[in-house]
Amino acid sequence: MRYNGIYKAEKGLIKVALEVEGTTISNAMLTGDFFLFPEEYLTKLEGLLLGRKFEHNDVRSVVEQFYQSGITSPAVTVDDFISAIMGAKIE
Amino acid sequence: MRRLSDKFRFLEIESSDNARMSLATEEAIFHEVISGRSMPTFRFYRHKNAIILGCFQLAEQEVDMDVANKNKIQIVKRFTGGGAVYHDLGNLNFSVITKDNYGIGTNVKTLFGTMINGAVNAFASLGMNPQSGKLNDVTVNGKKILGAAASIRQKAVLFHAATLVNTNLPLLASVLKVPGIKLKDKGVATILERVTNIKAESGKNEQDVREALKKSYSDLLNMELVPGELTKEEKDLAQRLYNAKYSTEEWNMGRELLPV
Repeated sequence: MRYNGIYKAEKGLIKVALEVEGTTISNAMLTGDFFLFPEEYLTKLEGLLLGRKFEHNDVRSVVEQFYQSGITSPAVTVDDFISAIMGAKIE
Repeated sequence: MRRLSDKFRFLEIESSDNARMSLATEEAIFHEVISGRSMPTFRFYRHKNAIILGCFQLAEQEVDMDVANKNKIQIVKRFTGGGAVYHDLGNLNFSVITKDNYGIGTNVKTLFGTMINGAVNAFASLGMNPQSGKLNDVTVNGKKILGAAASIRQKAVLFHAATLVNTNLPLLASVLKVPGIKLKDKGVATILERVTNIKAESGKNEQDVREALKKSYSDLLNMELVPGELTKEEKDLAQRLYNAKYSTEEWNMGRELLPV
């Protein structure tokens, strides 16, 4: 099933597109007008989501793991990314 | 004691007909400043008719392709984050590309907060009452006149901004798709209510804006501007980046993230 979401952080929109098979994330793309450094690391977050459960605790652990790799994102928090991903709904 | 001023190369080189080459050049300069081969640089440039997307954006989500095609608007992805902007010759872009001798790149909010002040001071000197926004924009009378983006690499910083001097705002508003959730956050119903031109607000022209920005950033960064040219290495690297990245549909229209 395809899930889509749009979430407004303090600064920036996070748009989420997920493919979920059963309860498992099989594809993920995050787009938007936020800032995140280093920029190319965003694809790592998408990669880390693959094979994980589309449920709050699993998504939280992935996003927290991602931020531990030295990510900074002004006015966009760990919780923003979790809310953005978990807020995605079936198309 | 005031320290000696830092010499910055001043560039007014632009490839306004081809924004894709322009952004390739921007990245090439950043690489050469990071490596220490090029001087810190203050650059003005313009684009004739282009949409510049943030690196995390997807063209189809941000651009009304019918309007873009009808108006022959070039679509280009930049290597910095942030949102899509429309550029015509009424929009003045500038960039500051330097080793981080200022200690501003360790905290991204500090980087934006420091660098945006150059623009705020410039607009104030032109008789406007500018306000800096949450992070990366400047408004006058509640309407946006400048949007900025930045990158940090290996103790070097790049800050670049688009300045609405006399842009075709109805075209800007019709070609950019901005979701209701964002407009609502800004307290407006349409994009057109959210943007304005410096010319309309102050009567000042592009040359006035250039002079004001040169003066304010010279004061802010204690920089002395020295007119210069692109180096051979920058030109060669820009061409390679253009061929491999900025001229490709995968980069401009997709959501590939290539390391800078």
